[in-house]
Amino acid sequence: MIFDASGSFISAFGSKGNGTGEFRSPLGVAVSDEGDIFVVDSWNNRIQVFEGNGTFIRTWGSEGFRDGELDSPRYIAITPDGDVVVTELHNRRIQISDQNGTFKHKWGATAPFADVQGN
Amino acid sequence: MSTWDSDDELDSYLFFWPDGVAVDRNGEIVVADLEDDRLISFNSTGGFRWKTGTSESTWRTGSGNFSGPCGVAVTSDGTIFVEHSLNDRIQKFTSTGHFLDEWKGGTMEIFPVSFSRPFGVEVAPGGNVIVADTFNNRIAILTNEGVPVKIIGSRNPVDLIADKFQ
Repeated sequence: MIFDASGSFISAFGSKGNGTGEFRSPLGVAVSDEGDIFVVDSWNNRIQVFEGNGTFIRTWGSEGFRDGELDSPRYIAITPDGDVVVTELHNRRIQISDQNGTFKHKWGATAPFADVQGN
Repeated sequence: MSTWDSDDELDSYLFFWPDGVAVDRNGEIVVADLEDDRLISFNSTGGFRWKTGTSESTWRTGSGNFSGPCGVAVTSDGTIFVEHSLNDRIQKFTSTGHFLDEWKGGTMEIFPVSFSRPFGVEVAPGGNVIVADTFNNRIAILTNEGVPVKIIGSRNPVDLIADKFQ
């Protein structure tokens, strides 16, 4: 849902699901300098990017521990250089990518939590 | 606040449940660990800067400590706001992790209504602080000193009390 700075409703987009422009538990949201909207689609383990008017642009991410994969992504922030920072609850790490989702850095857990537990 | 100790439990793992994240104008990153009740700051390449908060249960309600921190936001001058969902409050820190202030339920002279499980916080370009007051089903907008500016979208009758601030 989009509001103006005084709190007046402007528009809304999205519905429940795993298709393009659909969400399951959207959590974090960030806006780039260009005005694109980055949404953490938490239960779908992906990031979706939209134009300011809600038009779908692109998505990245799928469930997993490898670089570029996500497990319970939660919140998102954009650096002054335009990189995208995502926290992952179940992977116990943060990942940094460019705005197309190309992996750059990560820190935190070095193995999936199930492996740490010996499962 | 403390530094990285060699015997610190965090040596064995960096995060437990990394949740809220914000980046300041210098590219420095602050992460709220929901389960560890800590705030941790890094430079843009992952170098440790500082951490604050303790998981000692008797201290988590104290000023500067956390119980379930989730949302984090940073102002243009580096001031950090953290939502503190289980303690129903917002805390304010300097860019180096020093506690400055807290806004919580019951401080009626500052805020006419309490937060209930606040889960998100952002800073608007003009500097106002926007709080997702989740269990109250509303958005609260305050100045960065905690003065209420506006309440948006509530099914809760107490919202009527805040109408005078709109």
